[in-house]
Amino acid sequence: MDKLSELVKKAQQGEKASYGEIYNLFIKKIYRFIYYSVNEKQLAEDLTQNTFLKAWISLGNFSFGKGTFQAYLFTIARNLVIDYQRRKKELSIDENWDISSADNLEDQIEKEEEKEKVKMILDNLEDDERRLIILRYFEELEFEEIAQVLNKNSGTLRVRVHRILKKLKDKLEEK
Amino acid sequence: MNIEQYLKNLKKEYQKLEPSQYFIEQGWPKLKDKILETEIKKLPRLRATRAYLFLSLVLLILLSGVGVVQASQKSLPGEPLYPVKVLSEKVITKVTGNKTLEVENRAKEIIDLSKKEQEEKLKETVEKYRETILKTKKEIEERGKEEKLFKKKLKKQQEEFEKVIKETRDLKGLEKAIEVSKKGQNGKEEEDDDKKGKDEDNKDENGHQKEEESGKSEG
Repeated sequence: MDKLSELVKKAQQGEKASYGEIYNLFIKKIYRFIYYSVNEKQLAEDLTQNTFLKAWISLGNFSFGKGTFQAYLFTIARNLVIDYQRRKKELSIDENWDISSADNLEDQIEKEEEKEKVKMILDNLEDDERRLIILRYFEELEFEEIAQVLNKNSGTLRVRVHRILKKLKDKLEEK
Repeated sequence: MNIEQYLKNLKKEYQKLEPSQYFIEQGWPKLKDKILETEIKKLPRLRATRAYLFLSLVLLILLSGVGVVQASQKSLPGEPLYPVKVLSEKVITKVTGNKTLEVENRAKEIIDLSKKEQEEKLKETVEKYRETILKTKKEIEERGKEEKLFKKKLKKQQEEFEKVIKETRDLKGLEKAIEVSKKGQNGKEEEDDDKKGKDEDNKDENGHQKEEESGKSEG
């Protein structure tokens, strides 16, 4: 049994220290994945915390037979982002403006510098396409794991990646 | 331009992004406080639930008689034995985990009602068929399993409806059933991707067709 499987098993038995180790292993991955969907640091941190809290609560339902633990975490993160985006759509334009204006200038400049290049690429994509590219090329998940996260067939995702790459290539060549 | 290489190079930029130092340091202690108050949800006692449902089925059979339950399976909406059919269907679905039984039964009823030209009952059953497809589709998507099988079944049902529509007089309910069945299947783009994806899955790393299906780990 590998280290992660051991930690998960112990955490499932209620060992919080083991879950702490799992948290430290995945916190940056989950944060980045969420950040590039919501584009807001504080919000990304909150959703990251919620991902780990939800993952803890549902830990009894996780089984290695159903997929990897990494995919389990990304699935929860994806669902939380989708919930957030759905709720955000219900907000008025004014409220949206208020949220973005709450970021201070320094934070905004820092944010822009960090994500400039990555954002340039990801902005060309739809939400699910963006997640697919992040998971495949930046987090290097296997197609079977991504299939679990996005709830799609892995063969379908292979074809879709091919199509997205072509789309990105065309966009970049246009610029 | 090699876009894959471009993305691989971009990975370094992507990984430069980190949460704030405060979050890295305080994230876990704060979460720990929260999880101290929260218990891991125990798995539902599925076996016990199934055993309970199995007993319900046995009881239902004993009370109503095997013959009645069997006879009810061919009943149509509005007929005296139809409630027995619906009840036994629910129990069988829970016990066996067969999510598509209800959709299949509604489809059969639509065909039978069309042949009997019971237009009003047909309309009601098509509506139930639509609701059942939506419910089943959601359950299957959540489970992430049997999606392909479900689509295949809907496609088959659609073909059966199309066959029946040629044999009977023009019934609006049947046309609606075809439309509902089509909607239950995916959009064209996704269907294309699925078809191509299936071909991809049958290829090995060198792009050759696999001789056997073993080693596939499709969800």
